Amino acid sequence: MNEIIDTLIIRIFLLIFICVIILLYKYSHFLLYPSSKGQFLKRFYPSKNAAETVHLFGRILGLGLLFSQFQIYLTDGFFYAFFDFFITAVITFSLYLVALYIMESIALYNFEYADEISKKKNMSYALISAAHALGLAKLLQVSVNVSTESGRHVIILIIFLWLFTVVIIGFAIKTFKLISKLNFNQLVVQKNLAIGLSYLGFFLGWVIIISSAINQPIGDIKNYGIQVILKILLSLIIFPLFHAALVYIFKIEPDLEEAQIEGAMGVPTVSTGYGIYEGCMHLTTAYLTTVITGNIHFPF
Amino acid sequence: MGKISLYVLLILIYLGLAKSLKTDEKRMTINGIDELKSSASLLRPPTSVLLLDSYSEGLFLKTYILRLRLVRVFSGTKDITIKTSKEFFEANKGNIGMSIFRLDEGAPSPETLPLPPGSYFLGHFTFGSWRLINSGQRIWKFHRSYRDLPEVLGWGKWRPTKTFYKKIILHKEQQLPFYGHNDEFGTEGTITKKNIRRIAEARIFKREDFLPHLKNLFSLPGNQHE
Repeated sequence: MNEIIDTLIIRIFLLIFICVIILLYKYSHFLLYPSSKGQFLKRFYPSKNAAETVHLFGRILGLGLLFSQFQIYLTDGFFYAFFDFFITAVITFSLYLVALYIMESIALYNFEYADEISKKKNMSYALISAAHALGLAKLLQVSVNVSTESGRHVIILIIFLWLFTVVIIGFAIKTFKLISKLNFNQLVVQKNLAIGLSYLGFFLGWVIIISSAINQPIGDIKNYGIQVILKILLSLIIFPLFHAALVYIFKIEPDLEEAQIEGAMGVPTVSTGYGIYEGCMHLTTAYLTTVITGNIHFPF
Repeated sequence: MGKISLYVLLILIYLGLAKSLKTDEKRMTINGIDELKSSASLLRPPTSVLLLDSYSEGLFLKTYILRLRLVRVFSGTKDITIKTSKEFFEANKGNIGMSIFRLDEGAPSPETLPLPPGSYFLGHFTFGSWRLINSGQRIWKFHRSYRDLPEVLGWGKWRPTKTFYKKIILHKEQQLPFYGHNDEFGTEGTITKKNIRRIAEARIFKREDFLPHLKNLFSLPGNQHE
């Protein structure tokens, strides 16, 4: 009985410890995002501004995702386990915040958080931000996992993988113009949900492909880098084939002109359905692509 | 059209990069006996080339692989893995454990007739001599400095007799492959099977029968298959 109560106390202690780390994250978050101070320091009313709720909970969900794969080994003693966890957690959430900052600087350089969320309650902006928060958390989660499994140089490997993935995803989001028929800036200004949903699927699709590529044991860094790049290149070859196959099998007519509807004040805009189509197609295709690029085990 | 060109370019980049950055073992390609003859950097006469293993990789586009042992008397034995042509692979399917190539010092051209391993050394008194044993037969015994050769050649405890040697001479004159009096050598040979460990065998999955496989697939937890 003593053993059971003891492990329970350790778990409760760990829970408090993680809560302290989340508190640390909260304060460091508004250091990097001073404009989001209101979200974190004042009382938050989820029903007041749906866009703000999506924005905030995207990040909270991202934080949960980030810490979900952390492993705590008590075999080396209590102090070492918690010290390692603390150091890794602090570095990881710092990297997460910097990655978010970089990604929003690339994708949303034309828009301001305060204008779009607080004033305009722009849901498409919120969805794009949520996509960044969830996607980058997933990439960092896999990076931490891969680095921890390598068993040595954990912190350096986390930083290397973070840098590597941020560079790749940074280039990847520039392909949105190639893949999607939607006009990003124009539709975000129009607060069009289609662009938010399309981008959500697009970004998470890329995250799935990159996380599948980096999720392999690190031996030699050079070989690892080569393998990751080759897997991503292979994904780029497989992806359009699956996309075309899905369009053919389900007889989808992705005609943007038919998706045009009349928006507020008679301005033409795009129907939400088209955004759902694009987002879901990207996401489904990315999932199917990873089966081909990562889950086939050859005997030779 | 632009998208198709881009896609083709992507495939070419992938193939080019995958080929040039391939990090696993870079194998040389020897498509036949003529190419083996011209591999001067590998063959330092006197050399006898033993075929240790042959297997193919791939499902649709096969790559044919041979594992060779270069028994180079004065510069050390070396095992190499090469890619080869289908013809050369098929031609040597039954020759595992055999000497498929022998190059002598000063000889104008190498011998390429499949013969039992060590045929090159038999009768060369530089390497050994015939010894009379209790049964009245004469067997080949290597000199002390070459005492490792029986192991390298995959003989195990077997030793060639003078009758065996005479048979080799006869087959050489008739240009006919020789697999031993009772086919002890070659892929199905008893001595080969005993002394040469084939990697290919370890690589091939032990394929289970279809019905047990199906039963296993649909078996309920806790039954005898668990």
